[in-house]
Amino acid sequence: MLSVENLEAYYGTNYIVQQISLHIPEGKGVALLGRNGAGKTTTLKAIMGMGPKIKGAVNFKGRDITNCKTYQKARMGLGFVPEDRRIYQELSVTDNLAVGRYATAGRTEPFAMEYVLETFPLLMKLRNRKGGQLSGGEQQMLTVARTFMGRPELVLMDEPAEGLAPLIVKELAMVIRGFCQKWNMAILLAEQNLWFSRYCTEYVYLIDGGKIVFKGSWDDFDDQEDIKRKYLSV
Amino acid sequence: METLFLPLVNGLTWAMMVFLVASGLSLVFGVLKILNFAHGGFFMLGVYLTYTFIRNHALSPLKFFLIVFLCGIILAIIGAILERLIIRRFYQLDEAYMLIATYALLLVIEGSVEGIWGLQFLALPSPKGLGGGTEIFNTIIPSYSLVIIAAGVAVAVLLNLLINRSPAGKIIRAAAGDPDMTSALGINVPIIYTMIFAFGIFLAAIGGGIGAPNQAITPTMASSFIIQAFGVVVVGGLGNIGGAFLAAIILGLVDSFGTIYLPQIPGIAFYAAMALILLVKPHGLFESSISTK
Amino acid sequence: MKRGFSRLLAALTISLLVMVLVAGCGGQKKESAPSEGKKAEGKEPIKFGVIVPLSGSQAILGEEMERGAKIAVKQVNDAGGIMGRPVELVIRDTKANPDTGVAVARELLSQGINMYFGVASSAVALAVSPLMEKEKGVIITTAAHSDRLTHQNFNKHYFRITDNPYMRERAMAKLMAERYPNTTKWGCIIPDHEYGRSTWDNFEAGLKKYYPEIAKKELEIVSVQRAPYGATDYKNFITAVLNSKAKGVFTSEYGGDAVTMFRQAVPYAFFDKIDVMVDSANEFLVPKAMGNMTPPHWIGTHWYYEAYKDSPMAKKVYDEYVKEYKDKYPTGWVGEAHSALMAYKAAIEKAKATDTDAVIKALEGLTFDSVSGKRTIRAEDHQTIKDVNIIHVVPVKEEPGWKVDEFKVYKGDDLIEPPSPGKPLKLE
Repeated sequence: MLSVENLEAYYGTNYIVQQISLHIPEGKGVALLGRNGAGKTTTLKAIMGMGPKIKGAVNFKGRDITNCKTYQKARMGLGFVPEDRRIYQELSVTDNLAVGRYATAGRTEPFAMEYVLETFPLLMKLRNRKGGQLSGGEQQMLTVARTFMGRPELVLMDEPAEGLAPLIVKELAMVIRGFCQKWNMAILLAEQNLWFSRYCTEYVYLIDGGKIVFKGSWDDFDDQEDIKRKYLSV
Repeated sequence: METLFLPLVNGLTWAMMVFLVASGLSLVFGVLKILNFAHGGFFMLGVYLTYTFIRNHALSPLKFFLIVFLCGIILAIIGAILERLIIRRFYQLDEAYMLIATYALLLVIEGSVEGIWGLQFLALPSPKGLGGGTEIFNTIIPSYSLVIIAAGVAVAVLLNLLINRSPAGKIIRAAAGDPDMTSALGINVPIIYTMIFAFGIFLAAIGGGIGAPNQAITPTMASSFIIQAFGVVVVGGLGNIGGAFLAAIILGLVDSFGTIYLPQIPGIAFYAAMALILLVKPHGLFESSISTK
Repeated sequence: MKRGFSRLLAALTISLLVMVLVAGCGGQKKESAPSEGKKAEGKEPIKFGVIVPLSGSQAILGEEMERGAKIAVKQVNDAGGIMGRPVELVIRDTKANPDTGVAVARELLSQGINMYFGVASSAVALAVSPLMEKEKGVIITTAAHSDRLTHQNFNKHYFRITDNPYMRERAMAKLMAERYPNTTKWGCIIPDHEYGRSTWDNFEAGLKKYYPEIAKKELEIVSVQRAPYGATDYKNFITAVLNSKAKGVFTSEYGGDAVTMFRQAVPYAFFDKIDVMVDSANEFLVPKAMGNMTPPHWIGTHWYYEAYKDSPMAKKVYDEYVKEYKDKYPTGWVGEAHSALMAYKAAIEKAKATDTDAVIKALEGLTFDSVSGKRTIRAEDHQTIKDVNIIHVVPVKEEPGWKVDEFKVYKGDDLIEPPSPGKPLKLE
């Protein structure tokens, strides 16, 4: 569904993503593992067109979207959940969610607000709270839910489990997997949390120094002890 | 009672006139994060364009406001074109370039007004039935002052409804607070910028049209109003329209009562109030209500 | 880095293009008026520096002065120039700003131009006058009204071709005492700076002299409203004057401020409630702006052409103005600029020279023909003794919505103050 060929990403003259190729099949989950600074976030932002200068090709649903504007990509069904949450502080939870609806324009119907609130149980009782008044974990839930409101067909997620309490991590993983299965949603998950990644995805790419150093299933991954040790701060 | 009521009305009239100009300035700053130096120029164009359609005829209030509205639309369209062609090239640059560009735009507008309408001063009649005085509390106040006050309040209420209570307002505030994330959620942020800029111009232009019967129409009026509008926007808090509303009222009343009770030092009360407020609250009365980072 | 630089370049290019557009469009006029006229050609031209406000709030005054100057030049050159030499104007914009005025004067002085006329703003005049003394130029101002220029700030290189507030306001006060003897309560709305205050002081002194003398009545000043410079709202002052029960009202607000004040007074039925309104100096600016909203009032002017329609010189200037500018109402500033050139012409012909000292000597005591009859430049303080023209306007139905329904001319000799160059003006 999403295919990235020889992607290069630059910030100024800094060559961050160095000829990466990825493939995410429809409805499947793919983890992008790597240490801090390995290039995970830059890869996701490069695909979404949100910062770095890029070379190479990005194809989504059979179309070349390399030069499309960010909002156009979103409307095609490519979702993005940022690393730093980026909740609208002064808007309520429901208002935050409402902003997420517009990615469905011309493509499909957004999810009903009530449905999303039910599926993300933490948020239901916080519905009228202002975004800035939520805790870190609650904001993380909200940013995922907000992107999901737009009924994306493939979600780029940047370290959603970072800094969350283990219980919340579990809840979040269950919600995400549930969504993916029910709505045939694909994800590209940039993460350092192995358990979370394993729970939500079927395939693994390992990135280090901007290059892909491993790709395969989780079983393949488990067979490579030295890779785990070398490229992840486990 | 009478001695208090008159300066009250005069202060509020001035306040609402300046607010009409300041509201567009504040909105554009809140969303686009730019200070549009040419804002006063569009206020002036609103005045001149309204004059061109009306000349020396006293029209019915309905026709008058329809024409003002039309002039606002015309100038908003021009504003949208300007945003697309010129203004948006400066978003990524240092603020200084935006100030230079919009200042250059102001010069173009002033030169054009002089070239098209000449140097002669002009005046516009009030709409029929609104050109005289109304007696309230045993004092005569110009009926049109009440119109200006009503217009200012109406704009304040409508803007508040738009920004804080409408779906469109949520999108605007989202785009203002985090344009990148908002784009990632599928919202066409550049178009929103264009629309907000055009809307700001619309507000300036109708501020001009509505205010036109209240003073002389001169090719230098852009500068005098924009300075007052900037003052109100800064005191109210950049990007906070409610703040601009409150600041306009405070400064307008202070100035108005100042001319009555401190006639020996005209104008001092206004600047003293500005300085005092900014000393206590250097960022203005309120924070930006539009950008919700 | 490269991207940022190309963006910077784009920004500067756009700004530059825009500014070039502005300069081409409305902006400032900087070209010399080429010597028009057929008879005076071939000989070396006599150049005059014309420094007037061509932009900013006083631009309309500058435009009228420029027009008067150009008409004068055309007429002089058509008749053979001055001593057979064609006249050329070098025009510069003072922006009604003293620093700019000094800068443009310096520029022309450095080019060797020694004779100047123009200047509307007293502030500019007060800055340029000492410069003329220092650099050995001579200037005739065609509007600047501050008393100081012929009193405490006087120097020999300065001349005033117009009346001064003493004469003008006295004439107006006299007229009031003659026509409105029962209007004994007076108020004013004036700008709170030197010009505004001095005009009122002179008018008040005139009222206090002429009401007892002519109307045999005592006068009461019931309201003095000083509006801060740059005020855009006059309603508080208007209501204060109304509340004071003043029946006669004087204003020296000028230009756009005057129009604003008049316009804001209309809803109060201000002009129905008072006996008489006196506008110190706005020529036709207020009636032209307000059309049929113009209230009946008296206006002090530099020159009202109708009062001199039997003068061939005045008629020629009037006809030329109407023909060239398609406007039937030239303001007094046209006449003053014209008169300045007439004075220079007479002086140069008398002295048979154009150097500064000779011209100054010839101007002192000079009597010459102008669009408002004969004028004499007093030798002691370089103040011109001339007619004061006062007009009365009323609204009418037909275009342009107003007309002058009467006028009064006062001889300057009777009204002028005794000369006291170097000393401040003393009011009785």
